Amino acid sequence: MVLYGKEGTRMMISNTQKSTFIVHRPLCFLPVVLVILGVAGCASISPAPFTAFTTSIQQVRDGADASLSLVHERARDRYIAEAAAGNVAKVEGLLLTQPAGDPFGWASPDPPLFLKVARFRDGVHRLNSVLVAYAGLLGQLASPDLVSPEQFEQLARDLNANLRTSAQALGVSAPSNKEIAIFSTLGTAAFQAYLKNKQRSSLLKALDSNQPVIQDAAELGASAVRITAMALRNEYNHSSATLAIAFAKPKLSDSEKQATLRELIELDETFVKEISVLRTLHQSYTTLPAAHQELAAGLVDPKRGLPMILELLEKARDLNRLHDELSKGD
Amino acid sequence: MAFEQTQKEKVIESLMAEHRQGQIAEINLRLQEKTDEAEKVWQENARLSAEIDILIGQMMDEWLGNAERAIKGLAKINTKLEAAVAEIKKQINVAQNVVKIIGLLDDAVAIAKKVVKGL
Repeated sequence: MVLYGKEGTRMMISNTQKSTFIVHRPLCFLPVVLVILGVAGCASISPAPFTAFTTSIQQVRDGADASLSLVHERARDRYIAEAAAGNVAKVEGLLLTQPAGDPFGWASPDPPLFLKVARFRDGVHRLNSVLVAYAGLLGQLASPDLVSPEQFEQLARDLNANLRTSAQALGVSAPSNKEIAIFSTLGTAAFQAYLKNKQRSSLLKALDSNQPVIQDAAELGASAVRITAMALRNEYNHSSATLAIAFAKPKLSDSEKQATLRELIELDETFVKEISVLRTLHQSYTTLPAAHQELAAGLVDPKRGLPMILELLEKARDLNRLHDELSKGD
Repeated sequence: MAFEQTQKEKVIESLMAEHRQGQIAEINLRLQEKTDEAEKVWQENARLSAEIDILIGQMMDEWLGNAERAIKGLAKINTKLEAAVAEIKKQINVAQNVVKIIGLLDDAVAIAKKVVKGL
C-alpha cells in the first residue's frame, strides 16, 4: 500500500530497537536492515497521476473516434448525394473489383473518400488503443496492490507460524517466539522492500526509455486530429454551401427561407462545437509527452507539482463536457 | 512529424480556402439569379473539390503508413511492461510457495518423528 513505505518501515525500525536478537547477532541482520533502510528513503508510488494519465488517454481515444465517426458519416452522405445527382465516376467508384491473385481482396478504381476515412478511423483507434493499454500497464506497475502490505503481513504470519512448528518438529532448541517473530517480520519486510524498489525502478526505467516513443505517438495523434479537422471542415463547407444554394433559389417562400436559414445556423453551431472538440484533442496530444515525462519526474521527486498531468486531465474533462453538449444537440 | 502543420497540410488548407471562395461566389451569383455563370463556377469548383478529396485521402493513407510503425513499437513496449508486472507477481508467488513448503516440511518432519518413535 502507499503508506507502507513509511509506516511499515517505522514499525520495523521500532521492532529492531526492542530486539535483543539483533544485539546478539548484529552482523546476521545487517544486510537486511541496510536493505530496509535503503528503501526507507524511497517515497511510495502515488497511483493518482497514473490513473489521471490513463483516464485522459481513454477520453482522447473516445473523442477522436467520435469525431472520425462524424466525418465518415458525412463523407458517405455527400458521396451518395453526388452519385445520385448523376456523377457517373462516383457510381463507378462504388463498384468493387477483385485484385488479381487475391481471393479475399477488394479494390475500387477510384476509392471513395468515406472508405479512406473508415480505414483512417480504424488506424487512429488502434494507435490510441495501444496508448491506452500502455497507460494501463504503467498504472498496474505503479499500483500499490502489486506489492500490497496485506500480502506481506500474511506472509510474515505464515512464516512465523511455520518456523515455530519447524523448530519444534526438528527438536532443536528453539529461539523465543519473539525472536522468531522478528525474523519473520524482518525477512518478509526486506523482501517487500526489495520488490517495492524493483517496482519503482522498473517504472522509472519504462518511463525514461519510452519517452521518445510517446513523443512520436503524440505527434502522430496530433497529426491525425489535424487531418480529421481538415476533413470535417471539408464536409461542413459542402453541407453549408448546399443549404446556402437552397436558400438562393428564387421561388422559395419566406417560411422556407427561414427554415433553410435555421438549418444553416444549426449546422454552424454544431460545426463550431465539433471543431472545438478537435482543438481540445490536439491540445491533449500536445500535452501528452510532457505529462508522460512528469510521471517520471513525480516518481523521483514526489513533492513536485504535476501541472501537465492536471492540464491533460482538464482537457479530458473539456472533451467530456463537449461530447455531452453535442449529444444533447442530437 | 511535429505538432505544427506540415507543408502538405498548408497546401490543402489553401486549396480549401480557394474552394470556399468559389462556393461563396457561386451563391452570390445564384442570389443575383445569374444561373449560367453560377453553373460555370460550380463546375470549376467541383473539379477542385475532387482534388481536395484525393489529397485528404492521400494524407490519411500516409498517416496510416507512419502509424503502423508506431503501433508496432508501442505493442512491443507493452509486452515488456506486462513482463515486468508479471515478474513482480511471480516473485511474490514464489515467496508464498516457499512459506507453504516450509509448512509442509514441518508436517513431514512431525510425521517422520512419530514413525521413528514407533519403530
